[in-house]
Amino acid sequence: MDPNSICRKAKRLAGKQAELCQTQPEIVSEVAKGARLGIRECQYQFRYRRWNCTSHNKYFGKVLQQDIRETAFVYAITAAGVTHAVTQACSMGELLQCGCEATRNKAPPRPPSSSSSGDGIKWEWGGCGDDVEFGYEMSKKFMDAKRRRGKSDIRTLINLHNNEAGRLAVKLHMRTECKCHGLSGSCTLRTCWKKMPHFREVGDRLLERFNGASKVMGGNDGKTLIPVGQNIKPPDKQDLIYSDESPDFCLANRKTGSLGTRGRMCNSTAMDISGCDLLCCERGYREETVVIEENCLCRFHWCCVVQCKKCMVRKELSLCH
Amino acid sequence: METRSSGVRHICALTLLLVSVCPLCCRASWMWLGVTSAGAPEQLSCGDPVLSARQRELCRRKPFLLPSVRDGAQLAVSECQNQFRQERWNCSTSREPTAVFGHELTSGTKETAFIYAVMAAGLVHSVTRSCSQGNMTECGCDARLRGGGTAPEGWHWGGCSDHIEFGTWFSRKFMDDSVKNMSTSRGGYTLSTMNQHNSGAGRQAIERTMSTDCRCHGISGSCAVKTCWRSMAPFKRIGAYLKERYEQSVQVSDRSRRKMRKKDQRRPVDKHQLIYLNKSPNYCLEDRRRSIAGTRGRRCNRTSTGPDGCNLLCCGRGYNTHVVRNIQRCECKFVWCCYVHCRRCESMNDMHTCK
Repeated sequence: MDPNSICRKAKRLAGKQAELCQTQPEIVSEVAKGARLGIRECQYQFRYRRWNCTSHNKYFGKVLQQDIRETAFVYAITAAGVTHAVTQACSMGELLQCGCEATRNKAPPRPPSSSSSGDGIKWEWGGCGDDVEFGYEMSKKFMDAKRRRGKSDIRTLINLHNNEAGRLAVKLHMRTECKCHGLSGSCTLRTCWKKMPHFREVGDRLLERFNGASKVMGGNDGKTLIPVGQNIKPPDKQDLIYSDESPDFCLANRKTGSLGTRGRMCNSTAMDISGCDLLCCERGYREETVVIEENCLCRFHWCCVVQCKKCMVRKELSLCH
Repeated sequence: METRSSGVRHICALTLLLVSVCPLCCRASWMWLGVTSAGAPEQLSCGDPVLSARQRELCRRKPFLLPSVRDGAQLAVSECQNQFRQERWNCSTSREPTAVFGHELTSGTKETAFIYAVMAAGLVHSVTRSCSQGNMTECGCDARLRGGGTAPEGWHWGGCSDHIEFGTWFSRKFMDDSVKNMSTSRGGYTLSTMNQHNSGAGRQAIERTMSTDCRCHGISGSCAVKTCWRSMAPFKRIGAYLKERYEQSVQVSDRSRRKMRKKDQRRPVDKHQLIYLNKSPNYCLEDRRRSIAGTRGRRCNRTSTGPDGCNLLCCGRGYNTHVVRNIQRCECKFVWCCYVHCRRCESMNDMHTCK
């Protein structure tokens, strides 16, 4: 997913995306970095599930064509990744179009933690806050390019909703970090700035939403989505939605893009989906002892190199049949 | 209600006629008595086809024990469902006499072990309770524990101690087959010896959880003199004890299978441990062949990390969020005199069920 391939595709779509490709290629490279970050996080979060978000093969596209829960997660985490990466690049000063968050017009900050030493502490915005608005806009521009006038089929609506859910998972969970100034490090004066959450946190939050994803179907007017089932709570902006049931990821199937779970590493003591029982779909598993070379006994030498020895470590793995 | 249960009985008799040549798996089990609703008690008779020939014989000799059998079965089934209400397998029963717990009675798994243990314990409990209440002439309170005790220690036996020997004897006679061969010299168990062992463990559970209750007499309620008696634990406690045993149950080797690993052979099994032969299936997905209901639609707890949490119970399939209306009585005030006046509070809560 390098900038050239994105821009090549954008030529077909025209509009704002193509314009950005030509005028601001550095933003496009950040977008590509963000997408890669999203997919990496997807692979981490799904590492113990039957479908583990492997993107290094041609079946990844097949999975993304279906409107299933897993696709919802991939879209959301990619949108979140783009937001995160672009905002990060802004704060690092790598992009000329944006920088730290403009704090002149903002209201005084709320104390981040329960400050028992009540008032008398002077607050002010300072430092370099993450300009998440810019990242949000960029992510929207790139990923929601399908929003055309009148084109509101169910797939598009669902994808747009999931993209938005991913972006909101970053934007609505900013944390405030503060630093104390004052006499000998006391907290008489505080400078605060807003920072984005760690991307792992965003991934965890989206995984939780993935577990509670709602199945929806199109309403009669073609523009609304209504949840399937009785008394189901309507999904809000941060929930993930999907419209098809997931295929069986136990066995390899070229049509659905499933790779099967043969040879996957499982956890023999766990009771949840990462346990050998569920992951291997009751086919059984075998124990293998692997000897891996690892870095160990690392020491720091002045100055400035870290030297590690190589140790051979025995690991017991459980692999599915 | 009457015509329905008589219709059920007709179907039951017909089924038994048709499957009378079937092996153990298709035979009806007396445990079905625990599943039927309270209904009409006088319809119970010793000629009931769910009992085996030996059980019918025993019943005819002691017909006054049949209501206790039914009560014991009902007690055991409800306690089993209580203990497993948060697990994937929730001890669900069906109304068919041949498959009361689905196929669990013949599968030789941990769940089979628990079912047999709790059923045996339920029988002992209800028969002993019936004895202590004086409903039967053949047994009563424990006569050995009366008038004993030492005066210097300030207590003596009195009251009505539960006489579990009779209940234990009856439970063993009722449940165990005449195959007395429990020898494990060949190093293995069959399904029926496994069931016998687990029933024995269930009966032992009652004995192990018995407690001594005392009551103080003496000047102004002081404990100068105490009267003590032995009583059985409430069945909930026995259920919890058996659930712990279930979690620590031991897998033993099948006698029919020739290849056994060296380290599993000849490991002595305690009498109070539960044993099982086969590994349980995961009860996640519905399987009609094995009468597993699956966990779809079960209520789960989103924030819990235990077996009733949505993560574990739904086996990774995810959960649906429903909105339910809860109407509760709130802001209750006592009005003089003498009633309580409450308001009705409505609240919309989230309820999660497995997909």
